[in-house]
Parts: sequence; C-alpha cells; structure tokens
Amino acid sequence: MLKIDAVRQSFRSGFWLSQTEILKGVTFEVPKRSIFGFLGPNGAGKTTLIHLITGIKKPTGGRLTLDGIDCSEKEAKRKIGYLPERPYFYDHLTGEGLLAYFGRLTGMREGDIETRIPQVLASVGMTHARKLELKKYSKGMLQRIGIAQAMIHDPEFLVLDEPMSGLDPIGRKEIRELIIELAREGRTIFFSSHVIPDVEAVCDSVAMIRKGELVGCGKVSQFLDRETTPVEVAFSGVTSEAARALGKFSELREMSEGIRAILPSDAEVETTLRSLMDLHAKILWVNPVRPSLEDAFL
Amino acid sequence: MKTFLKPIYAIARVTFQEIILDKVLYNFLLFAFLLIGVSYLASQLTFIGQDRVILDFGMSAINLSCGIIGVFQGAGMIGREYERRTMFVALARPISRLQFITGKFLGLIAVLFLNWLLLSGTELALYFSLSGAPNETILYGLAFLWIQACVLAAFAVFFSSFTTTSISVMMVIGIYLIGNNVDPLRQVLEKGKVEWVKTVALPLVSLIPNLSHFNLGFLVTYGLELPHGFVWRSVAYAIAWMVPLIVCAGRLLDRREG
Repeated sequence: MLKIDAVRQSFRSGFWLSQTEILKGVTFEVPKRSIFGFLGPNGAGKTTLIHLITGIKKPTGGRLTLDGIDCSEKEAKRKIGYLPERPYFYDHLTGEGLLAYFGRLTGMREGDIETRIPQVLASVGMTHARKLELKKYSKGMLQRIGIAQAMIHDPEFLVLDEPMSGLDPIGRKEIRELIIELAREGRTIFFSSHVIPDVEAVCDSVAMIRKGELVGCGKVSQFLDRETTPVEVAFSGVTSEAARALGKFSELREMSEGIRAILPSDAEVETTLRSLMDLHAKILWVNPVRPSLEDAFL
Repeated sequence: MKTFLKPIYAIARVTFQEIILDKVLYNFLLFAFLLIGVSYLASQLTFIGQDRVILDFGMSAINLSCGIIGVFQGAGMIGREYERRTMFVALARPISRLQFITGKFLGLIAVLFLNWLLLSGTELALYFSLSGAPNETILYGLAFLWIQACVLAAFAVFFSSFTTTSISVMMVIGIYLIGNNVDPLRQVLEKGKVEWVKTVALPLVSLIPNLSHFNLGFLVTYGLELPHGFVWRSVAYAIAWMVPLIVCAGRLLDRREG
C-alpha cells in the first residue's frame, strides 16, 4: 500500500544554514490491511517521515507513494487519516465542530459530514462529549477525538504519530484496543512509537529507524522467533554459591524469598530442576522468558 | 471552484471564531470605545465644531483599534499555527498552503470588519446625536479605515510567513509609518539636487505602499466631496497589494521548514 523508496530529508539549520540530514535513504513498504509499527528513539526522524507520508512536506530525495500515487498529491491525501503527536486542536471548537471542520477541509459534502460525525464519535466512544469544547477534554479524550478526526473521511490508511504518548496505562490499553478495532474494519494502520511494548502488543510488522537510518524491518514474528527460549527459575533453600556451582545459569540474583536465575535454553529445564531438588531446593516458579522486540532492536 | 473555496471558508470561519474568543481583542475594542467616549468629552469643551472633534477623535480611535488588531493578530497567526502544530493536521488534508493562509487572512479581515462595524456604528450614533450633518465622505472615510487595516493585516500575515511575530510587528509598524508619508517623501526626493539619489530612491519609494490612498483626512473633517474615481482607485490599490502579499505568503510557507 505505502511504498517508501530511498527517502532523504535535510533541513537547513544554524547561522550558516548548513544542511542537516534527518532521513538517510529510508526504504520500506507497508502492506495493505496491516498494523505497521514504526519504532525509533526520540529524534530518530519518525515525525519527519510521517510528515512526508502525509504530504505535509516534500522529501529532499526519494519517493513516497500510496497505491502508486505520490503522497504529496491531493488524491493520496484523501486516502490518509492523520493523528499528530500530542494533538492540539482549536480548543474553542466542540468535538462535533472539530470533525465538521476537518470534514470540510477534506472536501466532504455537508450531508455526508452530518451522517459521518455520529458514526466516528461512536467508534471512538466519544458520543457523550460531542457538544463539549475541546479545552474541557482530558488527554485521553483529545487522543480519541484526534483519531475521530483522522477517520472522518473514512480513509483506507491511518497514520498515528505516538498515539499512546502521555496516556496512563488504562488510556494506553483503550487506544490499543481501538487500533485493533480499526484494523478489523479493514484499514491499514501505520503508527509510530518510541515505546517498544506498545508496538509489540498490536503490530503485525515493524520498522525501526535510528539517527535517520533504517535499522530493521519485517514481520514482528520474524524478530521474535528463536530456536531456544530462555527460562526464569526461582527457588529457595539453596545458597547462591551452590546454585552457581551447577553451572547451568546465565544470570543469578538473590531476592528476599530466595534466588532468581535465568537458564539460557528451555532444553535444560528438566535436568536443572532435578539438580536443584537434589540439593533440597524449594522451586518457587518457572517462567519462559518471552523474546521481545527490545532484544531484537536494542 | 467550489472545492477550492470550501476549505478556505472553513478555515476562515474557525479563524474568525478563534480571534473573537481571544480576550486581547476585547482590550483593544474597549480601548477604542474609551477613546470615542473621550472624544465626546473633548467635544464638550468647544462651542463650535463639536461634530468635527467627535469625527477626528473617533476616526483615530477606529484607525488605531483596527490597525492594532490587524497587525498583532496577523503577525502572530502563522507562528501560532506552527507552535501549536494545528497547521500540520490541516495541511495533511487535500488543501494547499495558499488555501490555508487565504482562509486565515479572510477570517482575520472578517474580525476587523466586525470590530470596525461596532466602532463605526457608535461613532456615527455619537456624531448624529450632536447634530452632525449626514455626508457620504464620512462613510467612505470610515470604510477606508477598515481597508487600510486589511492591507496592514496582509503585510503582517506576509511577514509572519517567514519571520517571528515580534519582527513582523516591527516591520508592519515601519510600513505604516513610512506608508503614511510616501507623498512628502517623494516630494523631498524630487526636489533633491543629487541626480543619482533621485534615480535610485524614487523607484524604491514606489515599492512602499502609499497609505494616503486610504486616509481621507480633512476631506472627512470638512465634509468635502471626494475626487472623481478616488474610491475605486483606492480599493483597486488595496487589492493590488493584498492579493500578491497573500499569494507570496503561501509560496513562502511552502519553503518554510520546521
């Protein structure tokens, strides 16, 4: 659906207006009907790339196309819904007023706007706040109305810039569920985050940039699949020296109830537990350590 | 055409509402009403020409109020949009920067019109209550105050598309001061004895907007008739400045980074 081909972006900065390269030939594709996570630390160039995808800016080099149409074209913009990072809208507008404003900017007919507003408000769970001015909205409500404005023209492709930033755990969970729901409706969702677990929880595919360069890109499972899974074993009744002497653990840490240790491979669980029980250890728990994107990228 | 104008109208409407709700606007409006009130008191100090005092004071108040609102709101308009990032969400829609800036400008001149209407209405009510004679030139004089404020606002929006709010304000104040003295400046240069100064400076003076086109001065005070063609020439002159300024602001915004 979205094709990003050797995209470069530079800005002039400083007194001598010297060029600073923000994106250095980024190339990847976002498949249709996927939830695509775009990872990177703060300042990596995520928002810059999002501005190029949404046609707000034009790249210095390379090309971005959405279904073969250049992203800066109006036709491509009609297919895109965009939620900016830390959304700030005209706070004198009501929820409904904001949606009508963006509907008009997209060129929707008044009748279509009126029909669509209750639908999108319901889908983001904001029907109750439709007459409320945005200055009275909480952060989570602003995020939701931000997603609603992105969806007002029923776009195929949603670009969400840090949709969970600044939200509490409940708010994050709600937005995660909303993203999954939107994807279920058949939309392609591209969302950026610097919080890896957020991406891992909902995405099918991911790309990661660091200092303007693509570090990795592919299916989430591709990064999570491993031949061996490490296992965490907790036990008591044995000294750490005796546990170390078994020579099985890659990490070992004492805690108030006993010892927590990591076995590098799940293949060794049985023999290790047997050895511990021979030492009269009491097994507290055994947990496989699930691989994470953090391990893959950092 | 409709698809081009519809987003402009939507932006203008939101901008109008936003400025109307800005508390700063009411300070300027209150200040102007106070000045008009002072003009009434000042008119009581004289036995003859009370209506003229009202006119002079009142028109200065309207000029000041509309000018300040136009300059300050116009100069901060684009910077505020960048700062709050409200512009980016709008530009992610199928609209151009020119449409965006035109909508913002039209919203601003609608506010200026409302401000002008309130103050002019008060001014005329006061003028007629002191048995001022109805005359067409007064209405034109008042209308040109609004037009001048629109031109100044266009300059403010233009400057704000590539520089900071404070620099924009200073530049427009400069334009206002020089623009009201273009004719005397030209006369001084024409009388000058150094030829090369004339050759260089006179074309440069033509690049400065001549705001005397909107200042009817004594014509209003004495109720004199306007020269033939003055109105349409001045209106055309205002449009000839405003349209290129807004178009250029749109182009400059295309190149602005960050």
